[in-house]
Amino acid sequence: MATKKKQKKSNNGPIVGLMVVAVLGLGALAAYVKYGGASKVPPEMQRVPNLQQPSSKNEHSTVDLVTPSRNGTELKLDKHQSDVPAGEDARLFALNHYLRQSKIMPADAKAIGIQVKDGVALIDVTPSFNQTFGSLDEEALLKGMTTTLAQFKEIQKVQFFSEGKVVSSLGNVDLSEPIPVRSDSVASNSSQP
Amino acid sequence: MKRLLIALLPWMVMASSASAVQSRSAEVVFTYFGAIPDRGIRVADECYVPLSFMDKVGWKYQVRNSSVVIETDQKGARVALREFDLGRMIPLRAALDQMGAETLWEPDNDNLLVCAPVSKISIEGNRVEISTGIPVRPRVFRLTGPNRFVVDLPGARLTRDTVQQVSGSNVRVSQLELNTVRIAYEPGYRPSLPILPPVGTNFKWELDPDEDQGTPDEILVKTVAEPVKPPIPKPNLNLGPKVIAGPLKVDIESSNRVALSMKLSGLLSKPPQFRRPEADLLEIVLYNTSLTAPDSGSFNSASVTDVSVRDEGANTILALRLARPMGVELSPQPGGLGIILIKPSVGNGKLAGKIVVVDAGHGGHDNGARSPAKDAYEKNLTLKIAKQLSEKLAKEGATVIMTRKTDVFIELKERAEIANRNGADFFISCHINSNTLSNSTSGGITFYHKKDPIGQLLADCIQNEIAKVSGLKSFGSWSDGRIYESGFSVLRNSKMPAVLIEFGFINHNFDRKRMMTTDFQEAVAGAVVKGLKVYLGDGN
Repeated sequence: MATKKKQKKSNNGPIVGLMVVAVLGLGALAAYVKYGGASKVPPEMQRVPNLQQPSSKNEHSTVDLVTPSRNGTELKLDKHQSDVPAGEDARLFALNHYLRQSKIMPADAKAIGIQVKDGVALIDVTPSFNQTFGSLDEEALLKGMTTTLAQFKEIQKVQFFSEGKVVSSLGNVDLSEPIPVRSDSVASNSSQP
Repeated sequence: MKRLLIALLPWMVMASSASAVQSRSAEVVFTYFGAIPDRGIRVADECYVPLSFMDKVGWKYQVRNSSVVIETDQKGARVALREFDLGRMIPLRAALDQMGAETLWEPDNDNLLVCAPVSKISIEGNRVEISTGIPVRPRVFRLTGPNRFVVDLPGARLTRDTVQQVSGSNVRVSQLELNTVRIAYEPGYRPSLPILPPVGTNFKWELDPDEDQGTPDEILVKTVAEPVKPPIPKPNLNLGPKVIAGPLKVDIESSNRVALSMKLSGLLSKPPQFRRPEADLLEIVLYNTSLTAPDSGSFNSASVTDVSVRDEGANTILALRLARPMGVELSPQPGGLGIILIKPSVGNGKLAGKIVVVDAGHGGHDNGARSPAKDAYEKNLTLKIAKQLSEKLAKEGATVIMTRKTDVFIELKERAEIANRNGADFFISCHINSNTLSNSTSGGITFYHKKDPIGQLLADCIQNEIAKVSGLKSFGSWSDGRIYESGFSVLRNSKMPAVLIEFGFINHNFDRKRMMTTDFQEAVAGAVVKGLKVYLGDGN
């Protein structure tokens, strides 16, 4: 009997050992995830803030809304002033106005969150925003959105995120890095080159 | 036995010499059409072309047993049909000979030039009449100093009889190039510019003096000969007096660039611009300017073979015919204008042996532009054209690298990196355009990066050829900075001459139907190859 008990004890040894190893393994995995290589996600993913949080407040009660039109291949951007609806973020209101007016993207393509960090507007968009177009549509989208955002002094550059990932392009222009909203070609009322 | 061998010897010699006649691939440059996409086969001095060739040049034909009867608006022809591995073909030179056309092989290559003989040149008073054997598309313009009415006939040849018809010291007729005839007439006044005639064989112009007779030539020359006064700054010179420019002179001519300059008597109201109607023809538009043409005796450049000046409204066009296609940079400065011609590095000038990266735009989850009914996607059309282009390039002996051969997604930066890693000579990106409102815009554009003069040259060469065969409007070549300041990723990151071609608009019904045909895809792929060859000077 004693021999049997001894045998039982000795039989549990490997199981306990395995459990210890498993616990240590899980601990190591957790530590790896938190501090190790797994945290080395692509830079653009690291930059992603929690854009689903309520947008940072802004003090604009009126805003310039931009509307595109084309004469042949020439793009024209017209501005008119509008009140910002109560409770809405002026920047998102203006941006979504432009997306609606351009009629390039589907109706459910919208900007749903914005945070401005070091002059860069990080804008969260719905998944249907994340697609590509031909050059002229891409021109209208980029010039219209940057012209819209250029009226907000705190914004120097812009980058778009969809479901936590950078929107890398709307066609042929690289958007994987923030792009400036003000320049000779995009800050003017007309977009003639 | 010996006698038998001696008797058979002549026959053996004939047989062996006949077998020595090899067939070679040949390109046909057809009057004003330029190069026809269907290549021919050169057998001795004859050039055989497929039956489809006749469709390309607008001939009607009927196959009758072993012969083909060709009908045109002018003379017809009947020639024997011959079977080749590639299919049934006709002897083009024999056919054209019956039609009254002239054909000649370019020296040292297998390019067959098809030319319209100029059969009549009659100039009496204010009436100018010209006739040709087969249809041509004239270019009509004016030159100053002295005032001349000029007709250029691309794809035409002078005959001795025709030259003898011309009399008078105020008419000059010349074979400007191997296949271009120029007729210049001095009527004694600045003629009004007639409407450009359509394609045809008989042309008549009734000249009359232009309402604006401009500055008399003598005064113009005298003004320019004087030291140029420093520019007088004015807030708005748009409505000011004309700027006097000239003469054009060569400052530097080296193996890779030519620097030209001219003096200006004042500030130009708008920056000068240039356009490239043909790969080797550069037209510089000088706004509200009068320009003296350079004296052919003092202007000496191996890179610029001809200089002419003409008016376009209040503007002056300085036209430079170049020895080969070159990049251009204009640098207007106070009191002068610099024109830099940049000779592209083309190696041995042959497409064979060059590495070309062919990029089919979009792919995988990235559909690109789409038709309104979502039944056509950019990614599929670009892949079809890219495959056609790759095949044609490979046939020319180029080494082709496709960024994708299947429906897969590739990052923009990686596409350019593929070209950089492989030391490519060219990067060609194929795309299809879209523009908000369906059916609002139709046509093709070729993009180059920012102000890159070599990229622009390549884009012009390619877009010029696409315009000839696509059947769609051409918007010419554009800088990608016109779409967004940073330009396109694939063009910005490529370290070799690179272009991005938007072949047409997917949300325009006409464009989309045309682009989805195999005929279109083959034609534009052939045009891109031709454009590359024009850029390289391969076969010209």
